[in-house]
Amino acid sequence: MAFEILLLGAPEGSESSLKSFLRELPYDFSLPVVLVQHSELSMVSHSSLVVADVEDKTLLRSGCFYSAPRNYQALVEYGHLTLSLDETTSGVRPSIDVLFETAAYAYADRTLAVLFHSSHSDGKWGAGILKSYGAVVFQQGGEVVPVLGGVIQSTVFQIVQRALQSSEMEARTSLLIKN
Amino acid sequence: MALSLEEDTNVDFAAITASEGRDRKEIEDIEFSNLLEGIYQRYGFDLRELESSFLRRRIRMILQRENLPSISALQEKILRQPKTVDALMSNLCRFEIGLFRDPEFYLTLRQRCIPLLKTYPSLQIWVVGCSEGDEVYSISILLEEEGLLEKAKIYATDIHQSAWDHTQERSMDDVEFDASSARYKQSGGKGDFGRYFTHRSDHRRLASSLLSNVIFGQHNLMTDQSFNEFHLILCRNHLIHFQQSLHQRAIQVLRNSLVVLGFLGLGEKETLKWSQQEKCFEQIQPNLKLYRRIR
Repeated sequence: MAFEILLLGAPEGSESSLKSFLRELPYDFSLPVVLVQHSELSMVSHSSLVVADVEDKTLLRSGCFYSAPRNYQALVEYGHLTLSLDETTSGVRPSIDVLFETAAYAYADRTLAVLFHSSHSDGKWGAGILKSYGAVVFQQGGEVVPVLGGVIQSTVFQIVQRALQSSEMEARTSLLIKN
Repeated sequence: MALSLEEDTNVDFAAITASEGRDRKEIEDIEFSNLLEGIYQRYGFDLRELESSFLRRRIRMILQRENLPSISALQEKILRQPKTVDALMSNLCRFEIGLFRDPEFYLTLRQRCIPLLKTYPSLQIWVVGCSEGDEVYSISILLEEEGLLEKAKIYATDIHQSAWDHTQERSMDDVEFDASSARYKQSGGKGDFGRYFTHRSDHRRLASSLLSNVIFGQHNLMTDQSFNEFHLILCRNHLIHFQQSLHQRAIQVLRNSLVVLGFLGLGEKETLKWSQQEKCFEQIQPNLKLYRRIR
């Protein structure tokens, strides 16, 4: 398996995109899924994955859904999540930049990440860090429509699914996906 | 199915392939390990059992600040310039905590523990990881309102002296003041929160009188022993930065530092379960990380 973790970054305003994505995730999804969102609304009910509470050193398991708690930074270690009282960044805590940055150190090219579209800047820097460690990052939004095996428009989930199935990802790209 | 990249006209290609990314990680993991080993051998500071992503971020910030191209370059500087490692140790004390963080904790402390603490002729309290003083000020304010501050001695410790300097200068803007004031009220705070501050033009500074019964000392929970017996220990959101392997030792030190029937407060997402000492404590209230030593 090329990937070992799926990260979701949902900045303020991207809640409906996140919801659609979570609804498409099958209950037997093969990776642990870790979400940092800005909104305080709980999204766990939209996913059919097993929801795991995030505490100090929560182990990462396939097919489990982890939603970072408020007022901590959520950091990725290899095999578990860490919390910290590192400062607020980009005006938020938990912040997507911190999740992405630490996943780059822990998982590097084995990371698959989605950054949902928002005018908020949190996550863009972290996405760059992930890419510089060979991770695959899908950034939703923008004008570009990718062509993926002939399919013009896919949902974000379908693109992730295709990335997971693809066995020849020699060149890692990040694609700007039209909503 | 491979991506048909040639057909895409406006695709942003990442410059790094998977194997390049993997190489980068492998190299940096070695450098990181060497750095921690070097700091330990040269200075005796053992950072090897801190959670690594937490430490990697702090190191990355130092690399950016010092304009260094790699962790190896930082190691070279650190080994030769003690003030660089001093800056790192000082940085490791910096956290954003907030006064009366998790107000329900302080409310329960007020309602369930204070009545029992009042029965002691004098109180020894330990705040582990004093940082900028947020927990120190919170407990001082609480004790003052409960009429206990005068007979209390609060030991505030951290791994670097700069924590005490920051504590003595702790101030906040209006936004932070309002948020802190709200948490103070939720924690059972009885009076006018503003009276604990001296007001400057654009910020408020915590009154130094709140520190009159506070003694600062350098102490590293990762490596140092117990140094006193306490009736209350606040060690909130420090264990989260330690690897699991350190928890056993840390909680042992905390237990040895508590009188039997003394209280221990941890952070809201922390746990005693990684240590064998768990059975020595009873939890005061479910879902609240406030414990009483029973053995």
